[in-house]
Amino acid sequence: MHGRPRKALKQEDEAALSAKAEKLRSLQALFLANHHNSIYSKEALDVSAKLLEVNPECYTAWNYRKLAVQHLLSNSDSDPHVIFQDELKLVEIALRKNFKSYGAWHHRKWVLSKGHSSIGHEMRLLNGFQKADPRNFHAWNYRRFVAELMKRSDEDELKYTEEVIGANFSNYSAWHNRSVLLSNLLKKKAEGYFPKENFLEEEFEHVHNAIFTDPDDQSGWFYHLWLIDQTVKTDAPLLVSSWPSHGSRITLIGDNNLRGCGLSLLNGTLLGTGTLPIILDFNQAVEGINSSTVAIESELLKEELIWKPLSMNNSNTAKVWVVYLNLGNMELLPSKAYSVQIKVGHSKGIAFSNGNHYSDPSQISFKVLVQTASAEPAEGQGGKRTTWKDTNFHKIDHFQESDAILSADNNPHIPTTSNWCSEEIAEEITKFRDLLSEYDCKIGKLTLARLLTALDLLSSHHDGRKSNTEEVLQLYTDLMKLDPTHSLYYKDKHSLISLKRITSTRDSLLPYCYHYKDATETITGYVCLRLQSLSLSRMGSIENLLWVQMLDLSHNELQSIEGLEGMQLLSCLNLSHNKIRSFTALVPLKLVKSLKVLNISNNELGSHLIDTTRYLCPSPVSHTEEFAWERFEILAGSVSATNFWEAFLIFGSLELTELNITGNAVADENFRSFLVKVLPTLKWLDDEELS
Amino acid sequence: MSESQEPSYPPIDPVNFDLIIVGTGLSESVIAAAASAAGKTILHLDPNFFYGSHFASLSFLDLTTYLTSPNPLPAAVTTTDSDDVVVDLLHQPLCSNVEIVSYDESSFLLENSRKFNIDLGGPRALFSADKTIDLLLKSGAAQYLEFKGIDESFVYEANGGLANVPDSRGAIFRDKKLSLKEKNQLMRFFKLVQQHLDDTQEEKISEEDLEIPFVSFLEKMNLPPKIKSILLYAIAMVDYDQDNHEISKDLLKTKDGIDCLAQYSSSVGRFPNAPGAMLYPIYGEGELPQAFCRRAAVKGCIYVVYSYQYDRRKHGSGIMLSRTLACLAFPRAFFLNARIVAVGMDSNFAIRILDYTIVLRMPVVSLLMDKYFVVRKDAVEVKCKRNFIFVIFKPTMQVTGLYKGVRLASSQDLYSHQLILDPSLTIPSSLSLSPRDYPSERLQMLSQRDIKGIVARGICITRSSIKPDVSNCSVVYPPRSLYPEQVTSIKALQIGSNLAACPAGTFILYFSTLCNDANEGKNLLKAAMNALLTLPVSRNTESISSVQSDSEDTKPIVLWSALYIQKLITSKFEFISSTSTPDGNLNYNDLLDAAEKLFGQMYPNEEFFPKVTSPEDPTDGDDNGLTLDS
Repeated sequence: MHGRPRKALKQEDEAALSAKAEKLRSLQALFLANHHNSIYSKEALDVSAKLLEVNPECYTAWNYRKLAVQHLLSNSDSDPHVIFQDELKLVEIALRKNFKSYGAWHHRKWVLSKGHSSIGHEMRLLNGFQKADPRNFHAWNYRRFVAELMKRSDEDELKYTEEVIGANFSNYSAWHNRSVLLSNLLKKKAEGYFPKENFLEEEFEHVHNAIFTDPDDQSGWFYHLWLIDQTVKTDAPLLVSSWPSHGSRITLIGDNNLRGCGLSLLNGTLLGTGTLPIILDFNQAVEGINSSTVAIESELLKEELIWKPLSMNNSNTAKVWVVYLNLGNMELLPSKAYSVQIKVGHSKGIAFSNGNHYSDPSQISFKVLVQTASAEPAEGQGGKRTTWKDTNFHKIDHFQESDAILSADNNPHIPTTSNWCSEEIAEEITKFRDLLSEYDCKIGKLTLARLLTALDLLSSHHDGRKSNTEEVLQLYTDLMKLDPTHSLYYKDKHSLISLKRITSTRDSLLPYCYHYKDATETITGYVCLRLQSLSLSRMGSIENLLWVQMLDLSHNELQSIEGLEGMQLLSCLNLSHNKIRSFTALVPLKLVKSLKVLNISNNELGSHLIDTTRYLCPSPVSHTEEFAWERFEILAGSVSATNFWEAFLIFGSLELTELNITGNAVADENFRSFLVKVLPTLKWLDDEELS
Repeated sequence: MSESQEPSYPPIDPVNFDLIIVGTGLSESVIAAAASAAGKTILHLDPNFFYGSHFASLSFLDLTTYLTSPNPLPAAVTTTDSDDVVVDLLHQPLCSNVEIVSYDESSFLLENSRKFNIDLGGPRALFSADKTIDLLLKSGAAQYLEFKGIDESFVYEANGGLANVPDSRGAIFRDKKLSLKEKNQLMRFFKLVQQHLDDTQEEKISEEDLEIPFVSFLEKMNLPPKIKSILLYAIAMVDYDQDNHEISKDLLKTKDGIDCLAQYSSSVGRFPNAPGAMLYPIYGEGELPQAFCRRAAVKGCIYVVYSYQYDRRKHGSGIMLSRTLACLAFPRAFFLNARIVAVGMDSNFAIRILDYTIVLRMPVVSLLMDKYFVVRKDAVEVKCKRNFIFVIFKPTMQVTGLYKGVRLASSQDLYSHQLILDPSLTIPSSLSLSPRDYPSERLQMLSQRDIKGIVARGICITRSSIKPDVSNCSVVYPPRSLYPEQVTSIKALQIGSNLAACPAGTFILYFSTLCNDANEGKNLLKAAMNALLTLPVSRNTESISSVQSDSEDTKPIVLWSALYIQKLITSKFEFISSTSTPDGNLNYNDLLDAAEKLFGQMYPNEEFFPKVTSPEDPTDGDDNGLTLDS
């Protein structure tokens, strides 16, 4: 029950408690003996019943009862109704003792699922319990179970939630049940509930009453967030970006012999193996990308392609999928344009994890050109070192037509959204501006920021609309000050919006793009994207950055680089002067096979005893990853380096030539020598050339 | 009024009391109960044949008779006793300008007369958290009462009809008429008040703000007119238009407004069975004075009960109850010609029925005053007479008379230290007696009562509810909601048959408003009635009614209506005290405050209902002490 302060125990209570504990111990001992010897006599059952009446939390006893029931049922002359009725009675007594006992509720479900008991009584029981405590989620959970068993209509249940909310709207469980029921109805395309416009408007109105009446109560806000999500989200997966993009011309630079291994991609070193990646980026994680759902037609195609999900948990769903076109053993003619056509979703199979199918077949076609390198191939690259000094970067005045710069504005995949959605969101914005003018609250500001972001998302491709980015950024900046406890969350949001703004057009990208030129180099170098000193705490807008090969993220506040795995062309990455706390945060890099140069100097690696992102990362003990223990042990050798397995996990699969890890607590001599062994390709470590 | 022959009055013994109280209105009954609890010897008499005086609930027939032919006192009995000056009391009817219209052609009302318990002092209800409830619990009177919650509270809007009073968080959420912004503003104001009242909170409303008019404070908080009106008139229940400072007789101060709000909001949901803020006693408000009388009787107050006239037809044949049980209920009552019938075996119920069956009627016809009474300058004279000792401190020499006792209709003289008269009894202002013999100054003071204005009351009986599916509800018409000249708010209460106040399928509506003169008050009430009800204009103009039926078919049709005017007389403490008339408020708080004050003046050293812990009184101040019918 809610809102009941705990009282301090009195002397006599303590005595009573210890007496109770004594009784419980003896009961438990007796019960366990019965359980071990599989005794299911009436006396033995009574012992377990007594135990459960005192302590409904004893899960073993519930399981024992289940075994007992099965045992009793096996007797031919037993009446299942009586047996199950006894169980239901016991559960009811236990629930009266502790309304929140998981074991008791589960046992009841188990009994009912056997189908020998009447369900009518369950609703009466539930109504009693729910009247006593309308917010208890166990009861709501069980209610959903019973309603389904009874085939009670979702509409009736919806009415019930309305009554409960009407009595007291501070009820997460009731609002939540509403969202579950409405999702069901929408899924079933029930009359009056499909399309979603039919009910969303009314629901918005309903929850406004709660929010406006008491903005300090959170339950309504949570439901409102669900409604915004329902309004904005697209039902089917969408392809938001690809590399190469539709209509682009990719120029590959090879050496005179075009043997393939020296093949470069527009001034940048592509994979030494001479492969060309094709990247598809969807709006959400999808599954089912394979050669039948995505058809590639090109004379460059010589073998069956295997699409790879860029996911960090080895699942078969991912937001970004990649495939490598192997050009290594191909005779390519200079000045010939090879065309590649990719047909996405012409046959069924691409789907969200919720089962919604990709329904917007699209086609991407691009051309691949091959050029002979005008200079010597970068044979001696080992001698050079990538330095991130400002003097090495030169501002770009304007992009060349040939620059394969991708941004939101040349993304051909326009999501189709109905007018209703943006109108609804616009209305919400007006409402919440009103509320904020009346009552300044954090959650109101946050909601406004979310709504504005949603509106921008919905109308990003409709011309002439004013973007709300500035206001959203200001709102998040205010929130960081107003609500320091959650400032990291606001900072993340702020970062994502900033990145979105930067990557929205080619023009907005231009100020951040530089040509990298080594002092010794004469040819035009990489186009480097420099996003340093922007207070970024998160990466985002990857769909617009698939083209990036050299990325400078130094002097930010990154704790995570989630999403970076999508940048399959990345070869130089500067993460120095950030707040990376552990190697597990670098896991996305494992998937960036093209990475050669990495600077993670001046981070917080090794400074924190507790790694709060560990759970995100596959670990040797979780068995999600093949972990080469043998190799690890050989490398770690005599050094007490058992703590280095995380680093091994990241770097073991990379072929870095340069690594800078100075300025981290972890980077002592032991560790450096370990790294040298883990990374045999390494030529430079911490500005020192390795011999 | 059904008794036909005059009963014979047997003599009452003893003849000396600490206090004689004439009238069984709420204030008199409360003082009777409080004084008996303090151990005083009391004789409680009533000139009427029913309990409750101006707070009674009457059958339909009794009500019409009472309103149309006020009950005069029996003729004074002239005796030749020469010891005392005898001053005959005058009865002044408290209901004037009575206007009754009946549209009941089938004599339904007459046939069902006994099924009605119509309040004389309505509309009246209790707030679940007001001091009346506390007093009921503290005094033990609550055990004789049963309550039910008023289901809904409405406010009348000039062009929108009835709107729910958004009086709680849940009600604001459910409200259909407030805009989202208004909901937010109102709830925030409630929170501000809560915070102010919460002792653990630092943030308080400033001292200056507490002293300014509540209406100015609401304006300062930027509350829109609609919210202001709801807060002032429907929740704080202010009578006079607060925006019109010239007309406004009393501007409510912020601190008082906050108290009203606090009382209202703590009332909402105090009892699980009563979702709203208000309660109403089953069988009508007349139950309240009776409960206090019963309390007084248990503590030794003497009631004169002379006759039994009981014909509650709905109960059919009853069971004869022994005199012992009756005596248990009124241990020291005089049972004269007592034949008590109770129905049902439940003892509580039987005792409640007893309240109905014991019929009072012992009018006091005259006052007895000392003939000669001389006080010397700066002297204290102690005079003994009839075992009473009077101690008088008077600085000046004066010829004066003191109250000694009363003469009953039975011509018996009874004596007491103090006397309380109900406000309908007064003394003629022009006296024919020779001034030399008569302490005229004093009596003139008594004859001049403080009249604080007048209140217009209305009663309607209808066949349907003003709001479908709602049986019991309250309505407030804020100032200017009916017409621009309306300067006072009107309060209304609809009571349905589930409160045992009327037969099934009927509803009683009570209206009241303060006013300056009878016409103004009656016009206001008529407008209020017209806004929600259909008053059949004439029985023969069927064409008109059929035209009206299109637009007003949802309005209940009035079966019977009554309008009357009451003067507001406040209580007074003198050598002869008097109590106040029913006021214009919806609840009893002011009346009970006045009663408590009068008690304090009479018995400055006695506690008003001291806390008792004896097992005989199971009232522990807990909410459970109140019986609520679900």
